[in-house]
Amino acid sequence: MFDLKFLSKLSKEFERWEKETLPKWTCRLPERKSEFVTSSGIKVKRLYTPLDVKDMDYFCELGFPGEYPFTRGIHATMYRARIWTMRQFSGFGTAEETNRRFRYLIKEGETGLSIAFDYPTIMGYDSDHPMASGEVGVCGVAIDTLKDFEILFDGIPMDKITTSMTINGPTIPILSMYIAVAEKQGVPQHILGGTVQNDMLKEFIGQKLIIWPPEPSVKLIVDVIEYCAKYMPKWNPISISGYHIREAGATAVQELAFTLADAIAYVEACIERGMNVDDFAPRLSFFFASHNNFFEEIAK
Amino acid sequence: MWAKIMHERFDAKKLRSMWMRMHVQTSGVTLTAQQPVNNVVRVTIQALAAVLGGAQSIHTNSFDETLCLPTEEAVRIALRTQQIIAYESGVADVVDPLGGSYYLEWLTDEIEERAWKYIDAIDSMGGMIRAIEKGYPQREVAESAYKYQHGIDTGRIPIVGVNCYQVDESEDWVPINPAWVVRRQKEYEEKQLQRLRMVKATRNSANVESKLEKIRKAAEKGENVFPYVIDAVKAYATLGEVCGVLREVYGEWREIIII
Repeated sequence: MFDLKFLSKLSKEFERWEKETLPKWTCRLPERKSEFVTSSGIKVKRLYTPLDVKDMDYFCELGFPGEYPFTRGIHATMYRARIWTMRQFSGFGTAEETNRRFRYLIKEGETGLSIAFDYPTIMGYDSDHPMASGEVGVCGVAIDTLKDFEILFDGIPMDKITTSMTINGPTIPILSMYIAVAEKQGVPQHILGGTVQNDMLKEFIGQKLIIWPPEPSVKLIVDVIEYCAKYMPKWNPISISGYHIREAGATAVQELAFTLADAIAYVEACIERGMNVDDFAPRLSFFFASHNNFFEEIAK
Repeated sequence: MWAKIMHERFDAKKLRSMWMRMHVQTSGVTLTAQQPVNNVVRVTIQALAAVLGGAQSIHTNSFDETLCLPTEEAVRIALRTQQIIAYESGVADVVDPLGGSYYLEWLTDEIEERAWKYIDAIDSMGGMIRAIEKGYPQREVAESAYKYQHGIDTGRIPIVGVNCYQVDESEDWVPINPAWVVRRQKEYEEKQLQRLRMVKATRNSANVESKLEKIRKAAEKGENVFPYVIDAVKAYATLGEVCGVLREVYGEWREIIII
């Protein structure tokens, strides 16, 4: 990124600064710690200069927003054109309570819905299952049948709002209910916009809300990706998630690496099913956590 | 990294195939039950990082989530946090304002290099499904989790209000009574069970049975089960019935114990 003359001058000047200026300060006021590290254990230096990025090729590694490799953003204008979607995860009690919360959030300026389901729903049990007792409606909304979904979306225009659903094992029955209730509102499935989480591999690594073994789990995920590629062009059939891996205690680096490795496994499974990569890849989406170590989170 | 994976490894042609569209949620585990209003500040910093990282969609946690289901007031503050970042701070006015920062670009390269190492390790095991069966990522995460907790316990990782700058617990503000939460839960459960009984009593059970049978057949043959499930839920088959059929066909998972 910089010419050699500049770099050699900078390198000399940097050495001078370290010899002349720095010791005056560190003698008078020692640094707070002998070593500063990010939450992933990356040791952070005191000061960064062009010397630290001297091997970087601007055009290959950064480039322009909206162009490969998309380091500067996937859209050319980013938030100047459209602010991100403000999508608050919510759901509790029964469909009535959650419907009221959705309407409240929409009134307050939220721009997308995000449904939290209770544990029995996430594990694929009805509310009357012995395992469900005491958990119904606790960590999210309870869903048993289409009837609950009819109440949940009462008065909410499904052609105008996009919905994200945090559902993994039972993605197919839940998305089926979404499609069915939209149909009752007169909204055909091809115009529905939203996301289902539908990422079981991260459950094995992080969250542990598991119904089926890995192989059939991935088979069902591919069923959803295949179905959506055919009939639901505006739907994200999967949200490949680092969030739960991170919340289970992973570092930022592990979160990123394991999520990408999961994504590779899904892409391979879809190709194995006989799908063309460009037919489904544009709808793959991701979900990450944001922790306290500010710059590490941005860099990730 | 995703763009490179899609372009180089999978030979994707469409640019959209290379887009990493991401939703970001602020971290739940970083929130503290002690001095809960401090969480508003944590969430703000985390949401700002998400914006500067280029997220397409963001959820901000409510400050009371460590204590109860978020109250309306707390949810509103969480939403306002995003609105203030979006419309008051000016950070959304320039595309990728931190691009070219010496520190950030160095750190990005460092993270990328370390992440590729993990991906290579998983590839050499035969991919993520095999790696999970061996317990590899589970073990790596468990080790990091232990280090993190140990760091908090020893004070190496400071958490304001938890291992430093604490206040007397009795001064802590607790917005909700746990007994009230339990009572409300019982009401919800009763209402939900009543509705489920009503649906089961009024639907055409023979029709549901035949739709469930079709799902079973499709699953056994390895077909895409989705269209059959849509038919079944339209006939008011329950979530548990559909998953039950698939459990019978696919079996259930037993967790590998990681020590």
